[in-house]
Amino acid sequence: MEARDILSHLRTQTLGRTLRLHDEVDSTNLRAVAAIRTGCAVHGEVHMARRQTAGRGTGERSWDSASPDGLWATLVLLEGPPLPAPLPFWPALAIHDVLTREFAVPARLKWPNDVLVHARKIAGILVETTPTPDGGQGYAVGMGVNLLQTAFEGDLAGTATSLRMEIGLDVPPAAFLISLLEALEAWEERDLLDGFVKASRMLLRPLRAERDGTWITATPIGITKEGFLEVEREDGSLETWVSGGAVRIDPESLDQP
Amino acid sequence: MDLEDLQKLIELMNENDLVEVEIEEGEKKVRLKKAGADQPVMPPQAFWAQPSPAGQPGGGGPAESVAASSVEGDSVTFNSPMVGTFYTSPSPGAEPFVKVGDRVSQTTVLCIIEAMKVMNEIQAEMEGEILEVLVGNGEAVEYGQPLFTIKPR
Repeated sequence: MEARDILSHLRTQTLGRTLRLHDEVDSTNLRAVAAIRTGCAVHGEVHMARRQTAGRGTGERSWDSASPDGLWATLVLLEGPPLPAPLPFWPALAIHDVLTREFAVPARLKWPNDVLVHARKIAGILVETTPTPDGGQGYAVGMGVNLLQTAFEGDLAGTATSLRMEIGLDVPPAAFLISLLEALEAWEERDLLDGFVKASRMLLRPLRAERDGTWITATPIGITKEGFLEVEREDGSLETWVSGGAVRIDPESLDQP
Repeated sequence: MDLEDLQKLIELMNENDLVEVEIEEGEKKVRLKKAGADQPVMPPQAFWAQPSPAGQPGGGGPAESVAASSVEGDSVTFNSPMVGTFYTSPSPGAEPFVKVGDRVSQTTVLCIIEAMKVMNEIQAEMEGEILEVLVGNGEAVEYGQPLFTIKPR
């Protein structure tokens, strides 16, 4: 599908009205960050690639995107919220909505921004900020959605899934992108915190998480306006989780009775 | 109308967001009013469309870190503009953004602070020389916590 085919179907006001399609890039986030830094980016532009040779997740986690089997795209924002704000909930909620509403997939969110189906990751998000030449702040909202994969190997075998594996249908990345951009625009006007609470179903349910190298049990009891997770430990102590890098929640623990 | 009817009516009002109900049983007259019906319709706003501080276009966020610096003798401490996890390099194993002795300018990236998995590049916003790096890679930092000492030029 070419850019003009996508644009002819896209019903958004701003998001994705400028599309930069790459056959193969290192990572769409790197392209977006470079465009923001050099002042070449416009608000709402989208970088999309068939393949990424250096797809990235948070920290050292790599993201398998060498194949053309998923949607690998980065949205550029030149107007954004003062951080910290629950910005990462935004793409996660939009992906969640497309999966649940259009494909009836029982997706749920895991704090702060993973999209899971039956405890397996179907989509991931990497948001980066970088300054613009005029002293403002730009945001690269990277989104990876597994679509056409029929299986995963190695470490991913038990932890990843794809839309194809869930519903047996092949949804082309460009088609998913159109729905996703429309869902993103719809969520611009909605309450992200409320959306996250509903789509994560995490509040008041105990979970297991790896924090500073040790596994702990904790129960989320609230969410701050920035999107930080307030949890109660087993010993009754309270803490606020800020960093998605320092806390890793076990997806298998989320639906335990 | 008895108490039970009234209770049912109140439940119905709650369920349907009604603030006013008028019922006349003779000639049958019903008048219902929904909450917010008199409110002017506000145009939709993006969740981030809040005024940026100090009239700065695109302001807010990490760009304001200079306000969080404090002077000590001929050096200043560069304080964290936000809470999160402090990273000295763009990716694990990569060279740090800055080392002690490095010259930096306004736009030099000093570090990344991650919160909610958002990677925020933090710029120096001043010219000078890095005298100390006060926080270790991967440590949690608080708002206003000193991160670097810099000797301004």
